[in-house]
Amino acid sequence: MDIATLRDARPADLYDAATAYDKLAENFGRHAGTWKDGVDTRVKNSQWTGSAADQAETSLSQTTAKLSAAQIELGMIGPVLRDGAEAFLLAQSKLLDALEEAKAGGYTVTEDGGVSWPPVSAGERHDPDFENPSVKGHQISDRINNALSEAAHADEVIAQRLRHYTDNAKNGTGLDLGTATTELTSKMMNVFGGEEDLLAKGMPAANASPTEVNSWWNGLTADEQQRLVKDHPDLIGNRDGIPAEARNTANRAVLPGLIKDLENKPNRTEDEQTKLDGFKKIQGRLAEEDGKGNPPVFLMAIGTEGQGRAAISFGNPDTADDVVAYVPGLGTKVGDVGGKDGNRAKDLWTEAQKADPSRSTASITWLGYDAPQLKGAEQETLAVAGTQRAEQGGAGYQQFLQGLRSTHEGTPAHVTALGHSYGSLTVGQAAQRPGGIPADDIILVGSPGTGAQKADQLGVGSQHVWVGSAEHDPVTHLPSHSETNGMLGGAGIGLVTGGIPGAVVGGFIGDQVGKSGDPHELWFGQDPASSEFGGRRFDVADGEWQHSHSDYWNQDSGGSGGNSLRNLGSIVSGHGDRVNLQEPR
Amino acid sequence: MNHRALRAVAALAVTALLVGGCSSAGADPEKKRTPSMDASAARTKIDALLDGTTKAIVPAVQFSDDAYTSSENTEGMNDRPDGTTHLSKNRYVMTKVAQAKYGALLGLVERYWKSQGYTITSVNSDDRMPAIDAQAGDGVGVHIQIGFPGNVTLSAGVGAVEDPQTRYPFGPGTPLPTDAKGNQDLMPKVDDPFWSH
Repeated sequence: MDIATLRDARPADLYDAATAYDKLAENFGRHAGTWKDGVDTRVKNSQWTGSAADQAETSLSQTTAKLSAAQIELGMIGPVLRDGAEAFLLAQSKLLDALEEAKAGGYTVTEDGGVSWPPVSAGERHDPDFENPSVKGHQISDRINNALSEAAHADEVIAQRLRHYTDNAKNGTGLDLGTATTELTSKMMNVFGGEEDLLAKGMPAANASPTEVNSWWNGLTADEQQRLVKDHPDLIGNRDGIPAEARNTANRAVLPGLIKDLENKPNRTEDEQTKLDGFKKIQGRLAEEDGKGNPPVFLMAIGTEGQGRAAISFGNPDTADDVVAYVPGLGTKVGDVGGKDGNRAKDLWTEAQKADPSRSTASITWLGYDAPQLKGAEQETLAVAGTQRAEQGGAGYQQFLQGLRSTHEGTPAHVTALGHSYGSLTVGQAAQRPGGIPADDIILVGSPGTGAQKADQLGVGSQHVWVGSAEHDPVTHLPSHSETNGMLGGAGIGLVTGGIPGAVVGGFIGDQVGKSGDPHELWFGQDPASSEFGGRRFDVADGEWQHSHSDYWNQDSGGSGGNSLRNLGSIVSGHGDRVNLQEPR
Repeated sequence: MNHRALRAVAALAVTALLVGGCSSAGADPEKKRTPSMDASAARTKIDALLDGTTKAIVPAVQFSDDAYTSSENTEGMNDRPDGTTHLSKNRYVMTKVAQAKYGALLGLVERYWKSQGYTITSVNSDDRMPAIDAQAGDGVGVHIQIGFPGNVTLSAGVGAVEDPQTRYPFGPGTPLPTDAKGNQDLMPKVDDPFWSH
């Protein structure tokens, strides 16, 4: 296909043709119905008997079947045309975007899709800030060629399908009720959900950025968007760059199926049972919150990957003034998104509203990674978990926040990234990735370290890195690798190993990396609560060893978290300058 | 052993106890949270605290109540539920309170709490977002805070109740006011000759 053909095509006209075919099928159906009631059924009920009557009945039934088959075949033409129209429109809009960008950048595009640009001068070549036009030129060329080949592919598939129905009509197979019914239910021919769904095929590649996904989505018509959500909720629900409303509708449609699949699985593993229980808990929680009514609750992610994936938002993140996305840590299971971690997001939403009801809030719990599970002393320990899960989770979290930024309507939201426990390492890793995270404030609570030595490495300015660290929270005191190493090699070894199951110590001494003798060096780098780190430590209750790691969201009224939740609410609502500070360690 | 090594030993010992979930070898069973009452008893306490405190505010103010809300308490490094929840309720004052009256309002409330024998545990004297916390014994707490635009919230809660296994054990409550876009709207709008000026 060449540029002019796609550029000047009027694929929207195909909708009219589709409607005409629908009408034809409908009228034909009425005609078939009249025949059946008026002739076939009447003869059958006419008390006419004998061999002539039998032959007549057989013949009449065959005619009825042929008419029904023809009706079904006719009914399949409209959806094929509509499917084609959508695929052509999508390819066309991609082509027009690329041509527009080429024009704006001074590139020349030939009719066969070649892209050229003015030669680079010697002066430009030596300018370090000069952007070589060949990079963008190749990108534009690729986009044009992709659009053309998508259109060509759509053309081929649609033509093949139409030819198929034409052949059926010509050779008479289209009048066979068996063939028609099989085709109607066949996945290959099911234009609404088969493998050849052209609209879904137009989705950006898996590695496309959330911004690309968002611009693709915005290029679709409202009808197309709704159809994708309805027919492909699994492709839409977890895709960063798609607006919260669509993700929520898609994920709520997917969730019952995930539960059913797990329920139907014989001999579920412990892991599968945990996911099943978790998904049910989330489903129950959504129902409870829907019953409460306000704020609306959005299921931003759901899936079976790894230990299970889920994200829930209280309030619409695409319209809220303030958005906070919380990453839970050690021991978190997918069901906790409907339990304690969902409670935390909701309690923080309420707290931000109490701090400033003139602003709207969306408070999210994001579990898009496998949080390490400390299983007794024998299996996984923090050391075994290492930083790998936080690195992978950090990439996912960065993309999630980029998606939120791209889907947000109007003025960008004030965004707070919040990590608890190992989740603070995940947030820290996300913030240290190339490009950083699109957040205004970062909060680290109960942190064993972020992998950073200094708050300003997190990319939001050290004055916007907030740290809640209870004096009696053991996770915030986990010693560094080198400390443990030195200690175990020294006089302390008998004392430690005497009271501690060997595997815990084994885990800690595994993977040793020599570090400085800094007293504030924690398991994953500098203690964020230390003065060396340079963040702002806010006031939390000292707490008890048993539960202070969990108390950061506990309410002041009868709870044990002291000022913590109130301080979180002030930061999230954009009033960080009003928090109660605490001396750094 | 130097300070650093001692700290590391202490952390490792705690790690072992919390990860293992056992209470031997020195864990203090007193520190494990146990429910002080069930959700119904907690509700009675919460109502008494909120109603008593509201009555102490004279002239009277208007308010909207949120639902009774249960939040799971968790413990240990794995952050697992300990079988208790924190039950609480927020009461949002819908009467506008002028910044010049913050001191009068907080003073009335604090005096009432002291007269009831509650312990004042924290006072935040920020000029825009002040707050006072008090404990009434049995893990029952009460709290007043003023938000940035001047909205006042009273909260009462019980720190550890028997888990009612539902987020809203006494139902979703009366819908709170909303704005034109359907968002919850807690901005006070009721004018009072004394409090609002």
